[in-house]
Amino acid sequence: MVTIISDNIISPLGTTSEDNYLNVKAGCTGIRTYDSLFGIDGKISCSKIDDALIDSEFGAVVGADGNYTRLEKLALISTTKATRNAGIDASGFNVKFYLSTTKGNVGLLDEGVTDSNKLYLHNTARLISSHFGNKVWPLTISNACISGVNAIISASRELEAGRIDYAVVTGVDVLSKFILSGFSCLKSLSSKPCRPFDIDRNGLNLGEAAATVVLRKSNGEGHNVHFVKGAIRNDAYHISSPSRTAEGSFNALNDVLQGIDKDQIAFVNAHGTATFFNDEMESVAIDRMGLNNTPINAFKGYFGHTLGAAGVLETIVSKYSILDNAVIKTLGYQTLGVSRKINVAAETAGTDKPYFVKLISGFGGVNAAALFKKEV
Amino acid sequence: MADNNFLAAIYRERCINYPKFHKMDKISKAGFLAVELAISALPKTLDKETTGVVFFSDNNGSLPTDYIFEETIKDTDNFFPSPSIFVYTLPNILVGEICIRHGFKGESSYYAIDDIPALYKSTSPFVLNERAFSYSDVLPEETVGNIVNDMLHECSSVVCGSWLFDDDKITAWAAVFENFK
Repeated sequence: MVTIISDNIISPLGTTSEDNYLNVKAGCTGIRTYDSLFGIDGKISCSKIDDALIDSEFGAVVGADGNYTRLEKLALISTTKATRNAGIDASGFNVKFYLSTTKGNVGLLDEGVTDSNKLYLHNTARLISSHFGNKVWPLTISNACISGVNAIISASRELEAGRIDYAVVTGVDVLSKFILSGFSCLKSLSSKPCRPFDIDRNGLNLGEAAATVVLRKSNGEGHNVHFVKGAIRNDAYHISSPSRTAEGSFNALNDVLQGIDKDQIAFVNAHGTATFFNDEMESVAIDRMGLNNTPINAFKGYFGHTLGAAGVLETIVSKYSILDNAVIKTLGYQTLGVSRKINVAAETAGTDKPYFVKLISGFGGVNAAALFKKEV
Repeated sequence: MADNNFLAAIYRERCINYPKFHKMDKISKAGFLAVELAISALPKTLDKETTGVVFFSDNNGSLPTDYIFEETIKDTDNFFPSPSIFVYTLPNILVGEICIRHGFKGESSYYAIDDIPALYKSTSPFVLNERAFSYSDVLPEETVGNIVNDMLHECSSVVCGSWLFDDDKITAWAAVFENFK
């Protein structure tokens, strides 16, 4: 097994995992409604991190001189905090860095920068690992919205194979005119705060975050949350629309739950973007798996859809909630609005069960599930 | 030179009948054809349910298509973003296209790495502009090899490919790896 020995989240809800979790538990949200953003007409709701906060955190935590983009600053703040808390020497040859991002520094194109090597996704990973003096070849995973869970799964395999002792997995994406225009022309965005799984849901909110987990191979013992198993499966159906039978999501879920007593699952933290098709598809996967009574929640109402950060961020919030014996409510949810009868958590409740599943899906027909277990 | 005419010529020459090909961006067309040729040369049929697909690209990711999308949004008075371009700005879309084409429901993933030439050197690759082909049990360079090996714990076969974009030239590579256990 693999254990999350340290973690960090930078979002509008805080600059530590603990602060983010406490704000989520208190029902706070980072989502604000703007009259327009990046010169794009029309009301838009997003979870955006304040520039002044990024700069002050960067100065206090990282303190490096040089020309860094917002994305790079966020990644370095989060990675620095998580590796410090882990107490590891991040420069070691036994440490490998993983970057999960969908579009990296693509926002530079909006500023007219077209020839910078910062536009290359992998150079962000290089920048992070070399900031710590680490010489191991880092890996960049850009597998649409499942990137974060994909990166945790890839890193866990590397750890379990004994090739490295520690993996530092950072998910990060920031808002830009490029990304906002893209989701806008796909008609995926809601102008109001999103409502996952609700009858009145009408689209997603984009969000900014950086989130980092430091992973170590373990025997699965000790009071902590351990990664048990992960699976990635393709729908083989459509590049931008999920399978109607939830093929890949169900297959991934089915794979990680083999031999697991469903009554021991505290909750499934779904992708729950609040688009019509995503939430409907996930309800089909959950129903096919027979998890109709298991609490299902989604965190998009707190953070928006943080793209490459989502899988890492939502795993961390889930970790804190299970350690707190809590199933966090799905902010924005009131009335079931999917075709299958599933048990969406409308209120925060207690739990004494040890397992949670992180479920996630994305463009390109990709789906992932990861099973985590709490040891007390 | 993998320009659109060259890619279309291969498509015609191989008598591929897959209309969605024409909607793909240039990167996806090149990767798609590399996989098409690699699979058509296989002595066996791959199991759809358990075959995985992974692609690696150099630093550029989907940058050539990013430039095209940026052109549609940079001018507020001439703002016409297109969903059909935007989806191809996700570099993993090519992998999705291949899964749809062949019905592959195994693991699918995309990694940006920065040393694709090393990948070429360490194998006898199928290179699109040389029309060679590799069906090999010799895995490429260590990191890529580890990823493919790890995937083979989950998948019966792994279709592995890469693309390298250099100015107007795209090189695509694909090979199929099998679990011999």
